[in-house]
Amino acid sequence: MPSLDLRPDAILRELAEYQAKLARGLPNLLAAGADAAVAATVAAGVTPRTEVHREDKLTLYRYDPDPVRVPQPVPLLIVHALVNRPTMLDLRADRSTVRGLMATGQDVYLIDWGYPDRADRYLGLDDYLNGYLDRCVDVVRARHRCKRVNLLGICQGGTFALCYAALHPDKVQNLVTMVTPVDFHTPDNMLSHWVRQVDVDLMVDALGNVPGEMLNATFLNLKPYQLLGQKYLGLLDQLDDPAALRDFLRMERWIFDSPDQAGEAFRQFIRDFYQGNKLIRGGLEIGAPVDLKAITMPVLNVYAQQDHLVPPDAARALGGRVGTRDYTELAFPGGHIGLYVSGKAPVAPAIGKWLNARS
Amino acid sequence: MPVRPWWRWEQGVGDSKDWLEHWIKAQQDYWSAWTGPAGAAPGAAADAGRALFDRLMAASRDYFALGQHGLGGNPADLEAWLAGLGQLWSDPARMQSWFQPWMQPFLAMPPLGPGRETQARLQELARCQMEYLAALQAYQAAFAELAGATTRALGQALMERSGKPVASLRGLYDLWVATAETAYGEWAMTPAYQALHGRLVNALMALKRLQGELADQTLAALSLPTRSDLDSLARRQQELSRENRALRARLDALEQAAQATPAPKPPAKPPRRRAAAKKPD
Repeated sequence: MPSLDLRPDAILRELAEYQAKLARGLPNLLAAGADAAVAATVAAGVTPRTEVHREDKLTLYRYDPDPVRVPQPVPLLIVHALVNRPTMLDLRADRSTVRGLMATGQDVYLIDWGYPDRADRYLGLDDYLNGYLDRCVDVVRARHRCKRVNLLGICQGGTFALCYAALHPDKVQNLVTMVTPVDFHTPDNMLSHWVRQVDVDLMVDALGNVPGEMLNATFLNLKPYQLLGQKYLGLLDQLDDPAALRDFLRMERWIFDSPDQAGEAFRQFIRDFYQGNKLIRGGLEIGAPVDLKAITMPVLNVYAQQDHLVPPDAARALGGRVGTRDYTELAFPGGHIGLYVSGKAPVAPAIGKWLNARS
Repeated sequence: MPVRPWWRWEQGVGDSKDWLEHWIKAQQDYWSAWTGPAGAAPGAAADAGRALFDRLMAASRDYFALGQHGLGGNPADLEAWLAGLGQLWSDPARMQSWFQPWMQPFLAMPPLGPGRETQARLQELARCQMEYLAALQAYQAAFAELAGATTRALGQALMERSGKPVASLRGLYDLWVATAETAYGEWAMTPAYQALHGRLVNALMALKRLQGELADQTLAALSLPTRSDLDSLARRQQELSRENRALRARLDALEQAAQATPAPKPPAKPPRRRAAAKKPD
């Protein structure tokens, strides 16, 4: 017998309640939608910052340090993924990863990769890592007159940070990776499973740059029932709370604010990482051979236990593959994005503490 | 001279039913000229062509018959007519399954003449479109099966549930999402789905690439910049940019090396000879 007790009067009452919720909350939704501050936050974040370097579409920012507090001597450069905007780290003042790091004394820099267009079609991974990223590292080193910087890579940015540290170990003091895929062929990696039979050369030849909307659709299809339906039904429960509503809209705006991917960089990333798994199998070349054993500086690997985009095993695969003995793993509850927007997981303090012990 | 009514095809055409019969006969005579003994296309193409023609005529007959009823003013009939029209023309997979056997021989025909390149591209475009529709049909069919699986999963979850029964629509919906997500997650990790997904994406990309090439052809004929022109420029610009940066880095390194190298000491001057003292006379 199915465990179901749906009574017609209860159904009608429930429907009437939802209708009343919608009617009550609609003015809040309309007001929040017209709130220019929501758009501004997603565009730039909440923490004041200064542009220190610009190159093509890339901008390097330094978050304005506390004038009273003396920051740590080794600056921290954050490298985010190309597929989303880095403002996720600084969407809300009380849940900002950037502010959390600054509170532990870090002098924080961030690379904003910008929005590639057709002129960037032929940017490859070598251009991104040994070009843009390397020059940003040099700018930060010159500003602080230091030989090395601390590097924090997030998601695909973590994969980039690993490759960069392997290619330029002389410029990296400490390396932190967050929700970073290392082994792209773990059995539970849905994205990797889907692209195995995709002809990425044909795709890039057809599209040029790969549209952000297309990647978005792929990510949403990892959990379509939740992300395309249930999430919006849950919005009804938040309509009464203007603050919760603004948070929802900020997240919503960020999720769909996806840059296009430069064609050549996308081709190489899919072919060499998602299809070839070369970071694990070997044979990866980005300007020069990339060998994880060349990573000899301390490494902190942070991952989320319920991450459906980068399964824990995909991140944990880094252990035992780097050339340093000072390797630490930190697991936190939550999903891929929840790790750095949830107020529950004390990620930034943990990273700050680890860095301070080694700077 | 009396003006001949231009809306009558021939003398004797009266009401709409006569018009319909005359029109169908005219179409039959026309196609018979193509598919009859005098103008038969060879082999299977002729049979497939006749089969296609018969299907089209049957569908068109129904279409016009419904149209007659609708034009007679019965709203229910008119609605049925519109729905039938929608069904007839909105199912690309069904239309493809009708046309494909008939088109295959024409797609296999080698291109000839000055327009052979365009003909070859159009044939390739038709093949890509058919492959894309076939891949889409397979993908949608698989999702239809999944829908059944998620429904069964929900039923099973309700049967196996212990504790409080589901007492709200929201509770039922949340349970459906959870069970459907699990069923979907399992199915999306199968080799079959990987193949379906790969086939669909590759078919779409092949179609888009060819459409891009055809668009470029049209733009070039209009003396407008094409996508391949812009891509060539972007590629060259990127290569020049790399070269420029490499040269600048080399120059910086040379300047730094020059600054680091100590300046060479000037050569030592020979000792000055004193002029000889003048002897007095």
